[in-house]
Amino acid sequence: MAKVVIDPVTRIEGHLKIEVEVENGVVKDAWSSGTMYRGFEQLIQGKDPRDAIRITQRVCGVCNTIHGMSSVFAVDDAFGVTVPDNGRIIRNLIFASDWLADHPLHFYHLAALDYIDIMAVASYAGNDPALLKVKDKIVSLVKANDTYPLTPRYEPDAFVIKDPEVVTTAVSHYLQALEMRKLGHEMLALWGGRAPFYQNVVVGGVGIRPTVERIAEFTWRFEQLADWLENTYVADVVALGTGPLKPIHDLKVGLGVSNFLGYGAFDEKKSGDIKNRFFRSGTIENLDLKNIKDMDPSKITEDVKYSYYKSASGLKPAVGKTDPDPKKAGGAYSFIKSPRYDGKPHEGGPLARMLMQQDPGFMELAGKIGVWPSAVARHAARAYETKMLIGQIRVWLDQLAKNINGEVCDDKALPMDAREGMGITDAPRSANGHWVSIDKGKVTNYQIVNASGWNFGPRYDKGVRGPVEEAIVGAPVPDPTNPTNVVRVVRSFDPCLACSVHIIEPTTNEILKFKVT
Amino acid sequence: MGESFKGLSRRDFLKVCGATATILGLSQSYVPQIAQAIEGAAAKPPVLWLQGQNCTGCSVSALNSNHPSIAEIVLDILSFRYQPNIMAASGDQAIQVIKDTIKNEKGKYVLIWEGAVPDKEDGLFAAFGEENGKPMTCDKWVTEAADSAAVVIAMGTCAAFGGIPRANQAVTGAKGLLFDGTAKGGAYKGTTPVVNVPGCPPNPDWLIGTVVYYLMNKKAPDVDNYGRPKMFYGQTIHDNCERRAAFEAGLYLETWGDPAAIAPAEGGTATQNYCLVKKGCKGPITYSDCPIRRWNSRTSWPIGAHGICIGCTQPEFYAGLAPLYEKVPEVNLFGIQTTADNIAKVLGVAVAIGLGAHLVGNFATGRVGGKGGDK
Repeated sequence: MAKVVIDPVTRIEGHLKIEVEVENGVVKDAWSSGTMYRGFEQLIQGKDPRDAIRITQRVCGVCNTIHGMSSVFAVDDAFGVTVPDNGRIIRNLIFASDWLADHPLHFYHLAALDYIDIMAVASYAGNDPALLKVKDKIVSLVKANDTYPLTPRYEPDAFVIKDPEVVTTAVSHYLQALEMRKLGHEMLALWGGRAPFYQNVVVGGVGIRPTVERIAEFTWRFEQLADWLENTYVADVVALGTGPLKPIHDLKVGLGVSNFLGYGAFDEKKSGDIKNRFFRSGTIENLDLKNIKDMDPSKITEDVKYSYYKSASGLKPAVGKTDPDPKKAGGAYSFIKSPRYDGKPHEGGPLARMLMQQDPGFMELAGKIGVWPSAVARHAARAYETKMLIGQIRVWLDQLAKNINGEVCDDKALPMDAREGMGITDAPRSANGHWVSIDKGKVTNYQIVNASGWNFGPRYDKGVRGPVEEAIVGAPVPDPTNPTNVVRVVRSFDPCLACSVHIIEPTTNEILKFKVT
Repeated sequence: MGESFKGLSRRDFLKVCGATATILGLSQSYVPQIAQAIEGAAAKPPVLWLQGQNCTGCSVSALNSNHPSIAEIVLDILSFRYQPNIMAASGDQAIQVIKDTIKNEKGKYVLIWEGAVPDKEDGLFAAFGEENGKPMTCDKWVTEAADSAAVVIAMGTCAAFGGIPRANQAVTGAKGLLFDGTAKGGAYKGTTPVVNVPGCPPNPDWLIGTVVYYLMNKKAPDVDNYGRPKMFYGQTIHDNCERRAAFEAGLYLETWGDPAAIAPAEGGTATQNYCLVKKGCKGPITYSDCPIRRWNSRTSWPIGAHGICIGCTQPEFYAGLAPLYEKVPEVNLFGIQTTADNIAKVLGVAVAIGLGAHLVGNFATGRVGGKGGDK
């Protein structure tokens, strides 16, 4: 048996480390660990709760929109505001714009290099001028003997796509996606001021009022992006998922824990109401797709036995504590806590949402790929929900245009009495929640259960693996120096934290150093 | 000059150079000089982009670069040996690239450092990569990578001054590279020049402009007392704010989204968009060119979208500027005046003093301090 260490895992957000044990070419066990801590929950203590909406966005520069939304929902809840419809809809547009930028970024820029042999571009023999330009670009890098950051890389494995035409097309879409995702951030900036880190979502709503001109400025960018997303991004994921990448799905690479959880996303009625969201909230246990249950936030707890915290384990977030101890003994291996729902690990994210939503189009797509969780299925779910969201943005724009003079904010003064608030919503990559307690106008407790914590948390106190750890188990790793399937699974969860995977010889505890040149 | 440069047509290449001149605020007559700086190098200048206590917001912001685009920057202009969010390599492969670059490109590469650097608990609050089974901590990385670099860019407020993680310094020991808030004495003790490009996040133009300036001139741009290039951070937000006239007229927004304080073009009924200083705007004490440069292909900027400036380019950010939604207290404005001698070298300070005096005047007459003083 070999133990494999990948540190750092790149093409993700943050600092994450994963170790796996490999036996007979298959992963037998896995450990996921976050290797960085700043302490947002600590530094916001004693501060004005309104600051949390700005500051906790900075938990993650990729997921900043979601942290801002979770935070404002929590502070809204504590202040007792009633967000006007236009405030709610503008928040939806800000949030949705980020999703439309985030999903293609994940597929092309973070994940795709695991699935294509980029050097196959040099063999492109067609005569499409756009693809020839891509070929010239890559060939010129090779000739200059400087192919960073495309190399070094894991040696292409049996599943990697090598067809020059397919690869060259994918690389041209990679380059297009760099430009197109910027449109999503421009759309976000039109309503939010800038991206990343919008500035005008405040307790009670937003500071900005809708105008016909702003809707038009938004719409021409949105329709351009929507067209590209549907005809390029979604089309690529469907074509690759039902074609050259299907063998990876058929091998069930990245199965996971089979429990799913979603807080829902995009408020359709009252702001923060998890029962009335465009993407529904709920849970699925043991892949029982016929029995989708309501999600009860009181069943959320966080274990820390295997995390670098000396605070008590199994606490509910509303009374949670965060007291770091990076030298904690007893087997702790991560700065990520281990969130549980009803005592069990649950996967959050696009696949969870689409399995709960059960839109006929998705179920048809799932039928073509094969109805079980996998790395490929997660990409498919992410693409499909992009398509769904595009349709709903048009509905919100119509609603906004019909009520153009409506109010945008229920601006209430900072309360001085003791209050509590919960703000939970799905993020592009999982389910994200903030819990705030305030008194005398200051934060007395703040707890964040991160989106990626649901997926990347370490073992639970009872030793049960977290969702990503479980999903890696069973992945074929025929060559420990090229653990491509491990990073495929890891990246299919779109991690938002820093991540590393290790390869170690467990009998000798010696780390197997592997270098690929 | 050849027909093509690193896969770009000559025409496209010159367009990139022209756009770069624009970022730098240079005349287009500098295009040949920029072209010479970029083309003259035998190979693309190597870059190591390392991350400490970061959130990747700086990297995401850099992805939004327009002229030149991020694809041009990554594939045509610079050689990104290590950038953890885009590079193909993972694990030991990736770490080896850093080590090789430090060894083989000594004195030649640009180090871009994103995130604060913590030193408590042996630096264990931020680590990436392993050596002999032990985590490699960022306090060691920063010294090793910066010492052999030609120049270091402290990208973002965390790297420059400690930023948000510094608000939890008692626990993690977070600091910037050269600065600990407003004070000298950060995590990097070596002698390689460090240019601060703060912002939470920084505008992509501030980064690209600083890098290209360095490539053109082989020296860091002129900086203020906090190590920030004056070409981007020379004036306060307030100096160039589109709501400055409302401030001068004593027209202050009191309720978010109030149509009576918002201009007709923005969906309100007021004569103009009212100043946000009573809502806590930090524009008066914040140095950057946001009002002119704007964000995201110049679509908007925080105050333009009816949000406050939170002072994110400042060494005091975040803890020193809290609470964000309370107006900048008078004492701080007097503070600027009383410490003016110490920061007199900062370009634009005279304007800040003038502003301080003006705002204090408004407080004195009840235009800012009193309820509905503008009505």
